Amino acid sequence: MTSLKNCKIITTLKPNIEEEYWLALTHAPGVGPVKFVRLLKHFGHPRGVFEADHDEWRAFKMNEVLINYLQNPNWQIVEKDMQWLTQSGSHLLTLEHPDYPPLLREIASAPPMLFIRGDCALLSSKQLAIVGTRHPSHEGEQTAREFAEYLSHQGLTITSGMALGIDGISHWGALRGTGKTIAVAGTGLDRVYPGSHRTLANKIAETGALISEFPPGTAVRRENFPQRSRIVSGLSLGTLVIEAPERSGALYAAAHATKQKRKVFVIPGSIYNPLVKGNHKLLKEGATLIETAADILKDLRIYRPAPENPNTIKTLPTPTKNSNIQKSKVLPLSQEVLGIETDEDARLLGYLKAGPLSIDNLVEQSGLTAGEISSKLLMLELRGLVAVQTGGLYAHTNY
Amino acid sequence: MKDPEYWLALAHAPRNLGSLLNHFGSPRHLFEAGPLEWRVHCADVIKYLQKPNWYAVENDIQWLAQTGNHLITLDHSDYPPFLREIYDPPPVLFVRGDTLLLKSPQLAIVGTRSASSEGEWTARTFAENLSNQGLTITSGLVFGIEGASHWGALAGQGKTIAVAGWGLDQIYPAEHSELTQKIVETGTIISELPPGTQIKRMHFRSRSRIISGLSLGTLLIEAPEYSGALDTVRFAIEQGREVFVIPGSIHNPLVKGCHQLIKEGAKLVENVNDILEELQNYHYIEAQH
Repeated sequence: MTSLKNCKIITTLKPNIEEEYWLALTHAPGVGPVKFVRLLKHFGHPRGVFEADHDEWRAFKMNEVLINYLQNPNWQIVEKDMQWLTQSGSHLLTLEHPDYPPLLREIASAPPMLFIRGDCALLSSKQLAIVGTRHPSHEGEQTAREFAEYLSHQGLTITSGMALGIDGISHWGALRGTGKTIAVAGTGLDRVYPGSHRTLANKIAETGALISEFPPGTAVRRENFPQRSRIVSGLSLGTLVIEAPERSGALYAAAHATKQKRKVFVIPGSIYNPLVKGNHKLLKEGATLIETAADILKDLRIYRPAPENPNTIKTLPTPTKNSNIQKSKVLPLSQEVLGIETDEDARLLGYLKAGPLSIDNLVEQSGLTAGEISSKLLMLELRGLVAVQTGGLYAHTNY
Repeated sequence: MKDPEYWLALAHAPRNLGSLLNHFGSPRHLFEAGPLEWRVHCADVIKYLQKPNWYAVENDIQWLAQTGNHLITLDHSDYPPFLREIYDPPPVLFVRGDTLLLKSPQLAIVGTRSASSEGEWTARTFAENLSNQGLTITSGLVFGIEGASHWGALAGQGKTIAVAGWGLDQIYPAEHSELTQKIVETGTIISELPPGTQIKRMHFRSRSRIISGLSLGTLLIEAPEYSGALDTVRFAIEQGREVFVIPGSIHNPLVKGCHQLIKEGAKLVENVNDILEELQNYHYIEAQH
């Protein structure tokens, strides 16, 4: 019944003959990840599926189309896949392979096979997914880039979906960090979608990994994109959502993460910003609010020894050439916490050096409003620089 | 109300003596109990109990004689029931304006004094909307979010309660004299401090417990780290009341305190309905409609 198949075995004599059956089963009509796994459980391994007889197929309630395919598998297309795999840097991981990412194996509909371009080992590293809208604000872009870069330096691999917007920017951020980033594509890996991300894809393949559950040749299909999200979250310890409007595709990843019992991290924003409506919805449902990248490390209990460079402050991203201006914005250590006075604080302290003053005096001297002064004095008071005297006068504690 | 002068004498004590009333029954009994009893129950304030400030009490009584000024004591039926539930309710409240408002369902709105214009806008619109939904807006009358919240409530149904951290014969901050005037017309200003009490830092914190204590819940709009507004929220949590928080950008230092509270489990609020849904459990609001 399977003459063509047998012929193939004889003619090619490939040691990885099992892989070909895996591939052949992937191309079977109507066999998705869930059915694939059920077939595996029942028949033991993909070759077993093909080699079973008609009665066994019937007993499994297979339809005619599938039985027809099993009798005449499309070896031509498998051959193409195998050719793609011969390219350097291309790999295939089956669900049963020991290198198959362990976190992904746990999820409900784990992909039976992963096509990979790049570093296979990265798939089993600690990952954080970063997702968000395709049309982010400038602030959102900056947040994605800087969180990705900083967390990459902290030893996390950044995983995302290579889409436009937050996805792509997160990959770029990780590339500026250690370069360890995983892009989960919604197409076959022989093509790049969106086309404008060709350079990005090549860079990721160099130091990270591009992966797909779809065999080479799979074209862009809308329905494949939400499906891909489950892999993005499934590979990761947690998923960070940066700017997701209502009904954003990024919310799929968050929903999958919740289902997979992974962490959902969410950056909040102004209630007047429609781009974060989805974020706030997630926060109301119990997601973890994230202000700084350190919040994520703390939550995931990832502790790193003090940075090698003594000049870098632990909670600030490691500076790179272009990030000097932006880095102070993404993880601001408030000046109060650092014990540094603002210029205005210094001015107020200056006035008080001459002797205790009332708020009204300070308003006259500084030109600030009473409200501003009052809150600044409160800050200074909390830091022990100013004391309140009877009669509501403020005094410098060192004078 | 019996013996108002003894209640007033209580208000001038160096600390809140409300907890002693359970034991002594009434302020008069407390003051008349004598050193033997005092030594057992309140040794720290013997000096005051021996020599209450009757001169100040006389002033209070003169202030109370003016129209619109009232005194509400802990045992009075007009004393706000929610406030009575808290750990250390003030034994007396000095009131200017509508005393009945104190028993209405209230939402506290608090936040930083140095608010951004977006923050003040949020305070004003939320206060106006919630006021139109039948809630009384309670706040602390200072600059920034608090002042804006009162203005918002005045633009709504006008029902707003200002809890002052000073004696009600003074106006603070001076720029808020018009606001104060308007609040007295359709709302209420209260203080646990007798007329003549100057503004002191310590009073702001104890005032916070009254703001949250009067209210079903507290809404926080813009609070940097260490903001005094966070005191009010901490009190609300201790008092078992709802806490609502408006989030903001992670790059905005004015909302650091807000985000901290959301991390600790406070409710994130985007719009007025988020608050109303939560407060629906309280039949007080339905009673209003």
